[in-house]
Amino acid sequence: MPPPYLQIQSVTKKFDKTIALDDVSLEVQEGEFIFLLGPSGCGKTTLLRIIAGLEDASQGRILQAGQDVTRLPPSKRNFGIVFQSYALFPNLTVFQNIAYGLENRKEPKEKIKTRVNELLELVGLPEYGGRFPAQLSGGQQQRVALARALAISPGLLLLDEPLSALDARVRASLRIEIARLQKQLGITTVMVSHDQEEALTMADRVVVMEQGRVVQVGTPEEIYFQPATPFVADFVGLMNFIPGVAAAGGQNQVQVGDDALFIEQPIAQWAGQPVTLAIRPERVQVAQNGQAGNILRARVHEVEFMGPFYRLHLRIGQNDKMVAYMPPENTHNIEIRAGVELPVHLPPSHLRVYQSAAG
Amino acid sequence: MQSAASLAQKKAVGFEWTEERLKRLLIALVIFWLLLGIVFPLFPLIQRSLQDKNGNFVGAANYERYFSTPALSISLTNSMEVSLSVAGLALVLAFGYAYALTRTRMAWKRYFLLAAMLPLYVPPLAHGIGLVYLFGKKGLITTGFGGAFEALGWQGWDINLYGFNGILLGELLYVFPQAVMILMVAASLADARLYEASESLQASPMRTFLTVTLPSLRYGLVSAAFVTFTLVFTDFGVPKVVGGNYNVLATDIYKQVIGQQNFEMGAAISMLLLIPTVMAFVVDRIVQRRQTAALSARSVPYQPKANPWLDRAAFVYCLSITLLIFTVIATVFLASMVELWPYKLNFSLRHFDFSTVGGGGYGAFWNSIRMSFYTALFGTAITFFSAYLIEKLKTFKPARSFAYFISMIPVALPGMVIGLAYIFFFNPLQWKFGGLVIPNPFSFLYGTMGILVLANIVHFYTVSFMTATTALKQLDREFEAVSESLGVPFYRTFWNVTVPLSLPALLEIAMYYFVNAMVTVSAVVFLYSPRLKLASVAIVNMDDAGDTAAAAAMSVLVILTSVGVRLLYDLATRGISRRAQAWKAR
Repeated sequence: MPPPYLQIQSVTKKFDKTIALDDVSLEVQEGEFIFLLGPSGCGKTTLLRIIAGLEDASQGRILQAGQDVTRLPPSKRNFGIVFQSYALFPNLTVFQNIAYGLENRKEPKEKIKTRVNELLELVGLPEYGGRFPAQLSGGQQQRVALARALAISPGLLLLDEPLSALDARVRASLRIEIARLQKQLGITTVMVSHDQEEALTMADRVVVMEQGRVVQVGTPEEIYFQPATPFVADFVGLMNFIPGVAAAGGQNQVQVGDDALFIEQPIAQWAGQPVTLAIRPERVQVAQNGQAGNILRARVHEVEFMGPFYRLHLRIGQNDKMVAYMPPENTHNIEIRAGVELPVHLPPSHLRVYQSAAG
Repeated sequence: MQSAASLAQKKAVGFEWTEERLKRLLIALVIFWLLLGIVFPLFPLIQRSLQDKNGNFVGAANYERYFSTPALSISLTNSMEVSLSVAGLALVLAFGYAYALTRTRMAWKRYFLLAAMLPLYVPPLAHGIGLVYLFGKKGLITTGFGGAFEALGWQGWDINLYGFNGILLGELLYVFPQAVMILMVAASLADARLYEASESLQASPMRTFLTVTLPSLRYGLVSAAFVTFTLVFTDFGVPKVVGGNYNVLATDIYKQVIGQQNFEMGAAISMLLLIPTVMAFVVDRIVQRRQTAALSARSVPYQPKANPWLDRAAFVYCLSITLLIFTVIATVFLASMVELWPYKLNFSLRHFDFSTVGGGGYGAFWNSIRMSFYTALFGTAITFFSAYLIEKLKTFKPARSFAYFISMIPVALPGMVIGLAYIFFFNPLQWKFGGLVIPNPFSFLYGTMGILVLANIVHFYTVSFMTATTALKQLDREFEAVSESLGVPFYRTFWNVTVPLSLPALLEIAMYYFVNAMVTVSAVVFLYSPRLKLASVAIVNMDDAGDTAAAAAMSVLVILTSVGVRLLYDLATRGISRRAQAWKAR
């Protein structure tokens, strides 16, 4: 494997007494699309700003293309950035905005013109060079901001929640477009987002952060199917948590109330201890008549019809809650309404086990 | 903790950061000028108040003498009395006016707003002169229109102008626009949802007023009270003309310094003048800090509903006050253009020939225009650039906070204090602190246009600075970050983006400096030199010498200039903004 293009080594950031980043390390390969994902206040934006040099790291180093850039001011680094607010210069035309960095490099006028037109073409706004930002829609403004960041051909593209100010429909189409552009240009990209759907659809790898720490790094599939902690599981998609006890003998079995559930994950290390079982709502199945193994007795508490599926709010045992997504054709002709008993099947391959926090 | 290696690297790389160094240098320069213009001159003032005429340290002797001389110390009581009275009255009057402008649907709102702002363009002395012509010994009203109505048995009405009454009236006119402006801003920040909620709960209008309107205005009311108090407490113009034997602190300083050349007592009284204004400033700051945002992003702007009786009452109220303002100013105009007020009312421009009176005549008038122009030009440049460096640069946080703090000080400094402090600071060829003798590299400024302009910039700095800061805060805070990422130096973006976007604020600041420099007396009355006489000071001197009509004529010139520049500005900005701000059009 070639050396990573961007290396973040034990970066810590303190604001007065609060710790915004706590010993964060990360390696990004050239051409990779990395997502920093987490709730607000988790430190993802701070990390991005440190990569850009807009904030100083209290400790640790940043290496870009093998060079230590930790103490370099932003102007001496090699990146383009797009902010949530776009930060387009409102008194300059679209053309002037995109040419802003190029003009400063004293490049010949003709060359600048060619380059800007090329970029306008790239972001799909070839006719918009003469307009002012206020004359564009939010999505168009965001594309101009992207073109401006790309104009100086930076080695690294930083995106700070670029889609969160847009409405849902525009967001979805820009999502695809940015991902396509990123692959087309092969530019190493770090994007900050709190939107897990964005991260799952666009990223090569996702970095999930919580309270200034990295809790998991992995492909979208890894993050979704094998969340490292209950926090990740709950933040990325929906997750049901059911308290149980790991089998004392070390078998792959968890006792939930009177029922024993088999799982694939080895859990011998927690034998006899309280654990938390996790399963995604779409993996919960209605047990067929006579089906045996990994069945839990449940009661329907509330039903919401969502269109493609029913969202069932179930109760297990005394008052443990569980949510299940059930396509109408998978209900096995059981009448779904509040109050009915509904045994559910939890496939062993989709059950994950975490050590209970209290344990 | 940084490792030794990274520190060493920081040093090695640091040498190339020319842009970073430039930023630090500029911030250092800003702090230097703020210290030089605002902080340092205060030290010799304090020092001088603790010395006798020969420069010997005498401790609090000057203050003791002040308080043991009833003729002097009565001024402190008088100043407090008149300032509190005006602040209280102005608050009530301006509240009604601002309420009418923002919360009713009366007619002529636009004109009433303009009328209320008119006194801003009038030197405070001119208000006094107008009052003299109306209510003075030979005033129009005092003499019953020159005896015109004697036949009807009306002998006139003497309100006993000279003294408390005159100061009260004059100062009311002087501070009214300021109070209205503050209260209007506060009143326009109303959230309609609160009123709808109150109405839907069937609260009476009175209850709504007491529970929604007043609480939302309380910070504006506090602010207006402190601002008007400070303005009156430190004003010199009005008491100078209509004060009579009713002495106040500001006129005392003038008498001590100009009349008796007693600089030490002048310094001591200046310190007394400073105490309540600084206190008012500090209390206002503390109160304002407790204010949470009155408007959230989800607030709905309040639209007053038609209410015929209220609207009519508001109209009558505003009309009365407007008439009062107009009457006084119109009287100044009339008096300057008649042969002999109020006996020979035939038209004459003879008072505009200043050659037979003291004060400096048209020379002084042109000097004033030049001074105001320079104040506007350099004041705007230095204020905006300072505000930009303090607000937008990321470097050197403690230094920027410090600079911000100093920038707040001038609002608490009365003009006379600035003027006197500048004499002590800029006049001597060397400063003596204890045994220390330091040559004064700035003494060349003394008696020049430079010191007048500097005094004016400092005198009106804080408001201009806040205007600039507010405008800068509205610009996207990532502009600088984007430029840096594109490798564009900050000064380029400052010039290409920040300045064009802030053009309306820049013009606003220039306007503010020009008008204030044109009408101000207090800061410059100690600083002008015989070769550099000024119009506003000429008004004082002509009035002093009994040439009231000439003083009125000079007032008219000053008012016409201020208003004229304001109109030019409105015309010009319409053109400039349309071109420079084409981006705003959709």
